[in-house]
Amino acid sequence: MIDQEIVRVAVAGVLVSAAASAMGPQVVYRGLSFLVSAAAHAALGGAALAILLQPYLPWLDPILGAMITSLVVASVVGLAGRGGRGPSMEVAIGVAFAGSMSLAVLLMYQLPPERIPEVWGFLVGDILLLSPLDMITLSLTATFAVSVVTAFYREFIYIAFDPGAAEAQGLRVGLYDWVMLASVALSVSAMTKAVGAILVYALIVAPAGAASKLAKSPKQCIALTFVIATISIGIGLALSLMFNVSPSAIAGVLSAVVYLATLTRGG
Amino acid sequence: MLAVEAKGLYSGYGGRPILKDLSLSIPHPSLSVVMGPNGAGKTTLLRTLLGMVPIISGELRVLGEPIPERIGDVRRRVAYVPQKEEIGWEVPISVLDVVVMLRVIKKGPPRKPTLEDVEVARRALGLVDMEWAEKRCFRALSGGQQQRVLIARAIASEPELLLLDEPVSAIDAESRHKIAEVLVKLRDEAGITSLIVTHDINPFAHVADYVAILNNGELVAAGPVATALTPENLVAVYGPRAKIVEVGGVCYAIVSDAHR
Repeated sequence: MIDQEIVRVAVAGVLVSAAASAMGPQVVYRGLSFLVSAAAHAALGGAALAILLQPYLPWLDPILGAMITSLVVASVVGLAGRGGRGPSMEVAIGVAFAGSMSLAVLLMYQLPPERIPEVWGFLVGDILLLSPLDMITLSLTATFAVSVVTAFYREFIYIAFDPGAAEAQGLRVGLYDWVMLASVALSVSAMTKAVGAILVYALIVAPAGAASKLAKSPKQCIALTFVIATISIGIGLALSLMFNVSPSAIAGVLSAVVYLATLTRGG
Repeated sequence: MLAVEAKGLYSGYGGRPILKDLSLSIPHPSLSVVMGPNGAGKTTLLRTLLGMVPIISGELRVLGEPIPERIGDVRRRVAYVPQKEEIGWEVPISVLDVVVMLRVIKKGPPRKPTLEDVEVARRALGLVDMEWAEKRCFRALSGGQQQRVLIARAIASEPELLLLDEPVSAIDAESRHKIAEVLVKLRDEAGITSLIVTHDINPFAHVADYVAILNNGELVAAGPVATALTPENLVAVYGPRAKIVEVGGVCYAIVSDAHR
């Protein structure tokens, strides 16, 4: 009989891969890979702020604070991208990353020491230690990410391919960009809490980066991203059962190796 | 009706004009060229026509419709071919998917291509001799082939006015010739106006109906090729380094470094 824990971890791996296959290609197409890292670290600042404000706002859960700051990061990046896009967005991501990390450190000095690990917990989740709440979070996040990309698939692709022409012909580029950025930021902050930063970075950026080099269509890119991410996490989990190694780290290394292999193909 | 009519037009960002006191009357249908060195305001003019750069003062009409009041209608009647540098090369997209793109955007939601859209896209690809490439990945084509596909994409959206931003920049001679030939065909057979902005008018000098020369956001000269494309006007824009050659009654500027 298969251990329930293994099934749970396997399901979690598939859910993360599904979210990664929806969001990863969008991030890679726009050259905004660093957004994934910025959103995860923005969550730290938001969680710290929420804990600090809880005596006054008891309903403000740290996960809500994390999501709000991730949305702020997405909005700042979207605002910076108006007119300039790529390079302006990249700078805004860097600034938002540094700003939110600084805010997190600043606020953590004000928190009771026993609550500081709760803040760091937003970066160091572990796929082997998932709670039922984490599983719900992952399920909702994967459903959300896949739904958003399904609903706006063509708009996202057209804007990523040719933002100038899309805007000139009447597509609301700023709005769609914001929806995409906000969805990525929300998904990343929620997933990071559950499975940890390493797995989220590894599975959102590297498989999509590899898939975008191999695929001949955006749909194929989504499918390939899912396959690469699922195989990476699957091998990671298998090796973690056989040896005392981190499945996230193995998945991260494997995804990176696949990406590097696609670079050697040329063209 | 004129394709573009501007009277004393000032446009730019934050109240600071990039285009200054521009007056143009671009005929319809026609093959018209707005030329000038880099930084002359050519792309700003295209973006102003598309309602993407605010008008500070003056009047502007595109296909008879006032801008910005009727920009939604105008966007359905024009098609924009951007510079290739604006393309997202990471997107693995087929040539056919690229060509249906503007047509599908103009239709509004749900933006799903129909069989008719695909047929129109195939015909547009045939016009630019690229039908063989419909299943190829766009980014795998040569620069000239990509430019022809982008023009097919604009044609497939069935516009009355094509706005082309540097369509022959850094492409092979065969593609330049083919692009000029297609734009002439669109004017003569379909009544479509092409407004080309370029720093290199040479591929179009012998087929253009109307030329406007911009420098530093101001109009240097405008009118039929014979009156606008004079050695004096070309030297005024490109400087004394430009060598002016007359072939068959048309003046060509040969600039050793067109970016200066």
